[in-house]
Amino acid sequence: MATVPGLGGGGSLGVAFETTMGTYVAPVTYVPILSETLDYTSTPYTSEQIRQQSIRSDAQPSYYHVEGDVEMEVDPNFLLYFMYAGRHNVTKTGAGPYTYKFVPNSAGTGSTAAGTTTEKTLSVTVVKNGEIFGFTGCVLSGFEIRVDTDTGILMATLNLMGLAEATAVDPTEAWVAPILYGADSHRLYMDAAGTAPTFASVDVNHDGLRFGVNFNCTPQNRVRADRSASYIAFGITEGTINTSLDFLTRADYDAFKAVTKKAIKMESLHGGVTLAAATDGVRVQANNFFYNTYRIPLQGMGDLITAEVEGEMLGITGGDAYEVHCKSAVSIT
Amino acid sequence: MAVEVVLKVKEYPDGYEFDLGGFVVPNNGSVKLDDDAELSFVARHRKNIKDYFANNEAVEIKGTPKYSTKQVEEMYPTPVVEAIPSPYLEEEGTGSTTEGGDGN
Repeated sequence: MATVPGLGGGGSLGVAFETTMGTYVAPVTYVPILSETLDYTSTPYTSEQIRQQSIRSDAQPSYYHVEGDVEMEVDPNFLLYFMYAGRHNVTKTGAGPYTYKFVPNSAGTGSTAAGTTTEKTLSVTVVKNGEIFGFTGCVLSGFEIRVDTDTGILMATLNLMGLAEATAVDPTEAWVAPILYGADSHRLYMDAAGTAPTFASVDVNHDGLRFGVNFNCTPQNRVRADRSASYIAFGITEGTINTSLDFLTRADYDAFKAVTKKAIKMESLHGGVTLAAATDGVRVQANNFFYNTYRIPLQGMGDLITAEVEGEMLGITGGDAYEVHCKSAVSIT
Repeated sequence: MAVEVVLKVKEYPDGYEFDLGGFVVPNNGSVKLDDDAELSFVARHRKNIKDYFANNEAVEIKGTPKYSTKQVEEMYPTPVVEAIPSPYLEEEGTGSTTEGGDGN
């Protein structure tokens, strides 16, 4: 127990796949994060009894769940744990390093099961100034993978939603060397929409990229002798792409007006120019999206003319709306 | 007297290095800590190395730690924060009176 204030840098966050959804598991891997906001989330009931007074008279604990965001530099060793907790079908290929491919499915709720191809829920353990917080039944309710426009570093925001706070064991952290993707790691490709776009040539006109997916999760509480959530429900999947394009010709603008369907892929790699050849890497890919915003303002005499663009992902017959690939030495079994 | 720290993290390949808090161990390998290294570990974590890794299924400590739990507690006792004494207050005259309120 600490007796003096502590720094965030002395804390830690660890994760583990659950065998049974909502049953705490001590961390098996410790994730180097930039920040986290996981919290017990509840609105206590306050009583407005009419008893000749104009102030609420009582408060009682209400239903609760846990929710918050994790910010981190993308590292494929750790990103894959969070991707397993999303509404994804998963495949694992390779003999080490392994390539994990995550594509969206239509599951209604979070679930967990053993094996490499099944979705899983996470137990997340956070240590703050020596105090230990355990959060169970966590699913990935959304994520954003982005190239930071100032530094070129590949970053992620992971939105988590879980069932309950649980008694956690005092963890003993073990840290591996970080794998970060700097400004020279990324290759971005554009193509027409398709189930397997060719992505023949690199596109160099994008200033940053934000690849975001929101599963619109809601916690579900049921009548039982427990205030924690019974399960997390998934809603509609919404995928968005945000970027800023150097404006060269009207071609993309006309595609925006015609709602022409496009595909985009970005790979961030070490040790190779393709994911197949790389020693480790992350790929985000949308196979079918359209621009729903395309603004090209003349902003000022000395300003570059750029198009501020937002795209919305769509499903595609015979294929997947989007794919996230993690190539990593980590072997999930 | 040295302890040997053995690490087995099943998700990671052999040889992958882990920083266990001041020293590095390869996965599916081990490292021996001499007395100096063990003392540095105790100073960093304020715990005996066997106690520190007691909950970690991936780590096995072989040998007997140089410092027992009791010795570590004596080396690094939990600091006690001194109570701040209340300031001395002069007594007020007759004290305040309270008029009947409206119940709020």
